[in-house]
Amino acid sequence: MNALFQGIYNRFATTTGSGFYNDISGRLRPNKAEQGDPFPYCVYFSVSDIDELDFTDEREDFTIQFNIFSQNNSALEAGNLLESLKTMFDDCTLTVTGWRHLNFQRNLTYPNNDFDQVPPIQGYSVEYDVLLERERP
Amino acid sequence: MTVEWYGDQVLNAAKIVLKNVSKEVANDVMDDAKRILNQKAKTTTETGLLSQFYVEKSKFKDGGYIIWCQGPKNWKAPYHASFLEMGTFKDVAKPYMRPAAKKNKSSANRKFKSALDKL
Repeated sequence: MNALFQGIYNRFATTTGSGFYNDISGRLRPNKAEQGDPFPYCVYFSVSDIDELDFTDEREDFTIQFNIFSQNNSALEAGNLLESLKTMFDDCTLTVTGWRHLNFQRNLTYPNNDFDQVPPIQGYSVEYDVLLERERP
Repeated sequence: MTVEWYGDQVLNAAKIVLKNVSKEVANDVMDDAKRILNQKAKTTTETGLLSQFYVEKSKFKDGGYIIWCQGPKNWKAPYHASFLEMGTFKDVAKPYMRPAAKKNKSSANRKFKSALDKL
């Protein structure tokens, strides 16, 4: 799991100064946001992991979720963040130590808003299916 | 020569079997979702969700079963089942429905196959 998280972060970090990295000022956090993180930011975490074993391969099928949040009266920023997240991760190839990366496919996207806040929180939850196969010596 | 074809009877029998297995799988998913939630819940508000699960037949044709937590027929304030599943800007996500569905995917396939083999 750590290797996958590291692989996701490495892909993010190699784009320093542009795209999604620039849009959230580098604030991609594993599992939870840091205390005092200003908006916008993104949190990523594992929804589940199971071993899918057969007789020849050893595969891991993960579901990873990204939550992106913006605090803005306009939905434009959250929409732009969603687009830049998709540009960065849709069908991307990750380098995951000890694993061969097979698939990184966007599954579902849900709005994740809180209009009780002032200005309102606007965001999205984006779910990806990730398939990895263990590297054999 | 006469051929008597009882295809409708076979199909009807298969439908009954699949319906029963679908309900059994839905109950398995619900039980696992409750178990996962029970492991992750930290507050009484979160554990309070455990009594608000139920399984319901979908109203859509061939729609199978729906597993609800705080669905329209059984919920108490505060409404937060989906917030816990998905996470919010304030709260860390504690997914319980999706892991339960995923966990039962393989066993559901086995159950359907086994039930159809017995026909």
